[in-house]
Amino acid sequence: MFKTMKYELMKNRVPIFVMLGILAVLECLFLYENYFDFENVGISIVLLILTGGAVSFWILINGLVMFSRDFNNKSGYLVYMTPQPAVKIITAKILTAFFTGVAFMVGYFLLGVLDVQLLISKGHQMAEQMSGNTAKVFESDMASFAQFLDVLLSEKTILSIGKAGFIMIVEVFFILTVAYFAISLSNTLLRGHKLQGLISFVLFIVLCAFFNYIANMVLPDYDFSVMLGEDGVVVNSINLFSAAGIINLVYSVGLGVLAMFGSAYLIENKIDL
Amino acid sequence: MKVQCNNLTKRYYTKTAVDHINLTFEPGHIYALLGPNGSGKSTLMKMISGLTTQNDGEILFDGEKQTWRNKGDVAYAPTEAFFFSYMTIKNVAEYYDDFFADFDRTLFQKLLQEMDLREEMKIKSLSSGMLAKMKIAVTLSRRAKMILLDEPLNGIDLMSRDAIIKTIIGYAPEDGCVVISSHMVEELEKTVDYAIFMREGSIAYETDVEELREKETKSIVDKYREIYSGEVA
Repeated sequence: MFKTMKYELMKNRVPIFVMLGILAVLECLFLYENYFDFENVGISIVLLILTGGAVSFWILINGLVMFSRDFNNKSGYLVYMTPQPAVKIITAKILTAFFTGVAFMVGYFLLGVLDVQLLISKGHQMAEQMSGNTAKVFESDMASFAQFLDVLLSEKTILSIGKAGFIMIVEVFFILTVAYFAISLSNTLLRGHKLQGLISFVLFIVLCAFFNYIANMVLPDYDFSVMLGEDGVVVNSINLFSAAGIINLVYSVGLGVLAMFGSAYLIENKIDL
Repeated sequence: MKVQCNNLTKRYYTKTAVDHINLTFEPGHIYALLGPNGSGKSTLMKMISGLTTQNDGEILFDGEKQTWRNKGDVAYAPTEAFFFSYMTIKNVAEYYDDFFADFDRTLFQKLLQEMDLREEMKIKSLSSGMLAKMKIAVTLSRRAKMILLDEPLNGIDLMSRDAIIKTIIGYAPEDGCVVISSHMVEELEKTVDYAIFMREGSIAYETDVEELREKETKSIVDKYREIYSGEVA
């Protein structure tokens, strides 16, 4: 399985490096603005945030595109002629997309924290050179940033982010596996159809809606919301280990695993390469 | 390893690509799978290599039903380029090394040398002749029990065809069998010892080549003309 993951990564290395390259350029732009200009530092931060979000989304979508391409491209022979069960291949593909996405998001979060610290430190330096009311306003802005960072990095918030992150990871896994299943299903039923991509998407939406409907009917209600106090500190964190929380998570993971095995079954028994 | 196809059928929507085929492939033989385009040769090969599933019938490997494990027994070279676009020849060798226990890297390097190919060459910059040689080299370097070569001579000039044929004969595994599909019948005349003629998904005729020569005093080419006369190859 790790060998398949290695080759999945190698197949994607060029677009991944291009995306990271674009982010590196934007990070350099931010650093330049922060230290030498400061006039457009806000724009550079917005660009970084938007591009980061787009790259995370692209990593997940690209995994699906690569999976779909293997069915329509002769290079799929190279993947599926290897003597390993289809479930291993599909698990490797999902895990590659999943871990690449998660690794990117974690790295991006840490870079974001570092950037805010750099921004505050530069802000303080600039405030010292100002006078009167402007300096006060500027110091006050920097103090707000610092407070935001303190709250963000407080034990309670980190714990809360960790829990929310865990739930997000489970949901991303669920969404990815259901999407892979939808692609496998459309390749089984309508292989070579010119609207196959659209049909896969519609199937994905229908499957997600169906599974959510079942969850709403059968599973106990579970509150995923996080409440913040006036000072921005997390008041109620998600209770992951409540019975309702565990049942909901098991449902998502279980369906994800079933979707993976379903895709593997279709690849091994129904889909023609 | 003996491979049996029993009552094998493959249908695509309205078309039956392979229609109730019964065939047995024995070790130690080189088979020619002959027939015009669309006669079901590639579909049959893809079913044996586990890339396509049959609608009816079964494939047995030494009497056991086909599973994903049998992909390790079959080395298949499709007619199309099937490597990842970023790959060099070295990357392909590494890939085969990683996934196929029977891949012989030393033999692969020897075959590369014989075919004037170098490991640092990029797959996407190879000419069609070089790519055909490359596919043969990497497939024969697997000491698999069954080797399936789908149209290995397609789009290849005469000299390269000779080199490819020589390589296939020279490196065919003694304890395995080789199946070559082609509609270039002349080239296979001296290579194969058993010929299977396919038409519209069925076996039109099958024969031991020596027997064909002795009993009917015909070559494979003569028989091909006889079977497909009036059809476009």
